[in-house]
Amino acid sequence: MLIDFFVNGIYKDEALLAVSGIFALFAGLLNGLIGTGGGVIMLLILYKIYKNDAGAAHAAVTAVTLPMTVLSAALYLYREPAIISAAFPLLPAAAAGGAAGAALLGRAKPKTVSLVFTVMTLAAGTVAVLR
Amino acid sequence: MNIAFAGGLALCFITAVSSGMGTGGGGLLTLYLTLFCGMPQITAQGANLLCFACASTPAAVMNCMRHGTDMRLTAFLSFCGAVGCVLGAVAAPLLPDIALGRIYGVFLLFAGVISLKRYFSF
Repeated sequence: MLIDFFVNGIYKDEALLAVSGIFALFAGLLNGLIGTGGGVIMLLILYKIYKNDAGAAHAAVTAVTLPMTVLSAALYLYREPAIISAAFPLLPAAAAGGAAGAALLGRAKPKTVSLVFTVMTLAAGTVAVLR
Repeated sequence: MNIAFAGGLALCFITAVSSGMGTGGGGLLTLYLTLFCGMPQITAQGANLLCFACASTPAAVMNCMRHGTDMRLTAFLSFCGAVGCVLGAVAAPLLPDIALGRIYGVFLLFAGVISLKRYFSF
């Protein structure tokens, strides 16, 4: 069994594993289709797997979505190489921001940041739907 | 450097910090690039993916070291996710920009509601 090969009895709940596999498939589909979203979907199931341990769930979600993001980016670049020239000037800011965010992990209060980005996400979603 | 690009640079940095902290905001850059930099939806999505591949690498490494992430579970979920990625990336260019934009918008609303629910439940 593929599931046995990968997880080898660490998680006895095979139904939960199967469901998490379906969530991961859907998260990847969204990541490939709209270039974002894998993390939100994966958090839904990882909170269940890690029994609401936010630290462990967030750690797992970054580990799971990074390969999805890299693969999706590679597939987009393969189809449209011009993306690299559009993204290139932004990459140093992204790398510096990612490193700063990782350094702030555990030091800053993420709850306020999370609320700010939640409001921004809702506003952006409304604009994207209505435009 | 024009104002739209400077704004994109600032937004990229801010959302990358948030992404590194695991507090979301990863999809906001796509909307900015389409609205203010005139990029087609699919190009903006690709640029967003490249930026967040850079931004989330340090966070993934630090998170895994700090929390001892289960690599076998990660490998299983990444494998399933990779299959989805291929399907999504193949389907994306087949859809018109406007449809992709609408799906993206509906997803942002969904993500916002989920985050809001989580914010008030902890």
